[in-house]
Amino acid sequence: MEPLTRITVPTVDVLDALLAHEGPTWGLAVIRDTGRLPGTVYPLLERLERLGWLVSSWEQSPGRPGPRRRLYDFTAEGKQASIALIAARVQKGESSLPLGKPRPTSSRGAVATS
Amino acid sequence: MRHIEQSVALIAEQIEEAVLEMAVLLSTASHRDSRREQWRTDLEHANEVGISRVALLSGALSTALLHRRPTKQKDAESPVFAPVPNARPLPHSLPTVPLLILAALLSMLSSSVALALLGSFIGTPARQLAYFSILILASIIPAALAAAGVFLGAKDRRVLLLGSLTMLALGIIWALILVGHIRLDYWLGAGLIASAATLVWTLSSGIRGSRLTAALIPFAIAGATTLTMSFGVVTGIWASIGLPLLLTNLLPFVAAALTGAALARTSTSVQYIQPVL
Repeated sequence: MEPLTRITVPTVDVLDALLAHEGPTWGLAVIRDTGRLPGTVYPLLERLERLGWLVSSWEQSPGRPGPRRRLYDFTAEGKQASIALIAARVQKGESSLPLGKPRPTSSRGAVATS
Repeated sequence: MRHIEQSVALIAEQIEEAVLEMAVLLSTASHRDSRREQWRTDLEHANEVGISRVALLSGALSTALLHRRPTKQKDAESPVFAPVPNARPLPHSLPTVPLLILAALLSMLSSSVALALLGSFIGTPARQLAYFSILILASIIPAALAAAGVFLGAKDRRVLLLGSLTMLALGIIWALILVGHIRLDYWLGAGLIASAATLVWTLSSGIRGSRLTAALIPFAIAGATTLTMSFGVVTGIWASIGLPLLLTNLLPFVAAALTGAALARTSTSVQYIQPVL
């Protein structure tokens, strides 16, 4: 995994939104949860994947026709680094999201894995 | 009324599909498979998730244009996931930059055709609009497409921005030449603009040294064309072999596109010039 050379507030928001989920998360759910524009979130997800913080995969749902959802999940190192990063940012108060607040992860988890 | 609503919805859907395909097409070849499927799914579910479809499409476009670095395709090993190589296949795979340049040339050609038909509008209020449209097709749209090509091709952000802006400026200068605000003979103007565009392209592509002199080729072609056309007999021969004047007008720009493509092929920076090939 490569370190993040540029950590922006949207980056922290995306990491935080991913951490709020247990398991793979749909990219669209990250857009919704962060409240960021898709033009911000899509490149961030690709960048985090390129640097080895995330892995992505296609949803397996043979019963649902049409294109598949792209799911994102942390690598082991990525998750540790993200938790550390978020913790550091919470101390500084630099995230625009209400960090630490519970999110409706149950519904998103269902979306991500259904 | 219901029929109209359905028609509007259908048109909107087709526009969305076209924008999505454009975003996919503008992406690098390595991204297209996954982005097409991902964005299409997201668009399908945008309403239920409460995200604007326009925001999704504009996000897809900006991602395609501005984020072109290849992604490491490492999939989770969990058995619940299908690996990326199993992504549903592309119906087609097209090179972006050459398509942009081809579209620029087609835009110029269509302006020539429209100009030939302009006589039909003489004396009608539509003439001014037609004239303006022809001007845009001949100058601004090709310049914008070429600028997009530079933008996609260059490596350095500052270089690509400068190159794109210069290409757009050349389009504006060409428009001013065409309307007569800058008084230059058509062929002299076409040669200069085409050569300048070639120079911008090659410089943006990182090509340096003696190969830059190849940018003079379009100007030389323009000069040769105007000299050739000054001999009526030769023009007659050209006409007899089916080379219409409409195409002749484009020769400097075709030469510019071919020169740029040839230089790109021989450049060590070729991956930055045609990143999707």
